[in-house]
Amino acid sequence: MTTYIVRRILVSIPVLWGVMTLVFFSVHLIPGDPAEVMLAGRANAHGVAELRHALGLDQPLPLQYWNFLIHAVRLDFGTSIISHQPVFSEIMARFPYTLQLTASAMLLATTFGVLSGVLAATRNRTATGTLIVGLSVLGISVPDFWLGTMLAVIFGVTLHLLPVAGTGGIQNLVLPSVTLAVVIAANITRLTRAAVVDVLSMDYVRTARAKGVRATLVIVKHALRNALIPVVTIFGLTVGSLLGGAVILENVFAWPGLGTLAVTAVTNRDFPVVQGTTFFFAVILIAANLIVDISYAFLDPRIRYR
Amino acid sequence: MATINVSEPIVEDAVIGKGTSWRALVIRRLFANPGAVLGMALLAILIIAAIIAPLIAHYGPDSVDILALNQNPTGTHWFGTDYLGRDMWSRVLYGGRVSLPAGFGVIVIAMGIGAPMGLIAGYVGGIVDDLLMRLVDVLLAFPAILLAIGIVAILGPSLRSAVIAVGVATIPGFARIARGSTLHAREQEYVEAARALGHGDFHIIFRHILPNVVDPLIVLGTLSLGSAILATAALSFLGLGTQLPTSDWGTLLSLGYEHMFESWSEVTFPGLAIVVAVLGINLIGDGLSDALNPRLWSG
Repeated sequence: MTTYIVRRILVSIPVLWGVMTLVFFSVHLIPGDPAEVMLAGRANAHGVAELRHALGLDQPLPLQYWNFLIHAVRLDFGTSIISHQPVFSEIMARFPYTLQLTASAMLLATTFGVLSGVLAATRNRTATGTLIVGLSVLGISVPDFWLGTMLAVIFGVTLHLLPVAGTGGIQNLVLPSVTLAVVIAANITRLTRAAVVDVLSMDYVRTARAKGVRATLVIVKHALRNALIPVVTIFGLTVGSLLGGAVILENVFAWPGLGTLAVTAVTNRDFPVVQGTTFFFAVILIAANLIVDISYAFLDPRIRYR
Repeated sequence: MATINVSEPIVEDAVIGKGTSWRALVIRRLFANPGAVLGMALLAILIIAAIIAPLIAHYGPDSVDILALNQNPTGTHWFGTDYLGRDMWSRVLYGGRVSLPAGFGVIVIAMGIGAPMGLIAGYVGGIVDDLLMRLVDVLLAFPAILLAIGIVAILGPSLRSAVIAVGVATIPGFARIARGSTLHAREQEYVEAARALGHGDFHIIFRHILPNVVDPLIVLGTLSLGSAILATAALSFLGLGTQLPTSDWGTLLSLGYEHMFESWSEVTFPGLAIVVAVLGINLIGDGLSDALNPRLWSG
């Protein structure tokens, strides 16, 4: 087990290095002088030269790359050219909001997704099953930013039941997390259903049924456990990308998480923040993948021996 | 993301007669699937509506009627009007002329780069495979929409940038599928036979490997088309894609979002257009994936 985990961690190191390299070169792919593009007429030639120096863009490229790597390892991405705050502390200030949104959306989505997936699988080819399948295809086809806006129009603008933007209390969390949960639950439902349907046709399930094991017990102990692997995969990957910011949705509800930070930074051409957030997202996604892979090994002992 | 039913295989002995080609069989199965037929109908309606937009739109997409601001749907304005009194029915029709091709553009880029990458990696193997697949791993390490936003940050906001950005972010899936299928096809006897006959690598890749990689690529291409339309609309919604005065469904949505306190119809209909398009595509994708799945049809 330990060898498996260690090997898996070692494999992510080159990917992390690749991510840092890509993030570094992104600034150099900007057509024209990056410093000029970032300031976009907000400063004179002197200001541009100052920024170029502050970002180290006047140094030879290999030296810039080396400095970037050294600083990135220490999570130092310089300071925002708009707020003049260190990029990493800006990220950390926004992270708790994204964490809140992710946790509540995932809790809702997993509960409903797994339940309706199992229901659709056990009621396969009945009206209930078909209805759930239909709703789940609809769920993955809806843009979350549109669904969010519609819920805001209905529950906020028309019925005045819930706030449509900002933070403050639990009521502010309702609309964004329900919106996110709908789309994710649709995905989880589809996967859970497919996996459970697959498992239900296996011999060991037939054996358990033949022995007279109760139907619920067959589902929980035999079917669901074996169907968990694809569900854990989607769970891990979704958590990973959500922690990276429910980018668009945070903007719809003016939720001050990492998603709004990233989009504002792009709009303002605040490249240190763009680089910092992109790197941060990538690290989280890599970590989520790592955890998913390690949990496989716990769920299915055969994987450890590959 | 295909939902796969294996509980009740459908035997098609009557259909698999002599002279029935694999393609004909797949197409027949697809048309036997009510979901897929509904999907094809929805998508066809949207594509035709976008093509004949000038004929069926009542007004120009940009013509302003200051006497009809923020109206709800009426007999003259089927989808209502926006904050400048522009007819939403016309704007949604014309928006499809941008949003639908943008989605197809994304797939052309993603498949055009991803599939050859996977074919080469899988066929050549060794260090080439390692290098290409590590590159794919790095791309996969970013949440797709953020990778796209990052690329738009470099290229500058425009429809072209948005299509390129989403296209690049979609490459990994195609590269991985193409590589996996190539690895499998490479070991088959017909490839060995072709090699023994003295055919070159180029010939083997195009004549023997590619036909075996096409099916999974088509399924992935269809399902990715839905997410491509969603992602390009999302970028436009954020102001990073199509730039005004040109409007796609995403920019229409973002304008509707800004005026949601004045009118519900301005935000509702562009969103519904996206839902119908993506739903249609996903239904076709699910149907294709079922039709191509031998486990479902082998009896």
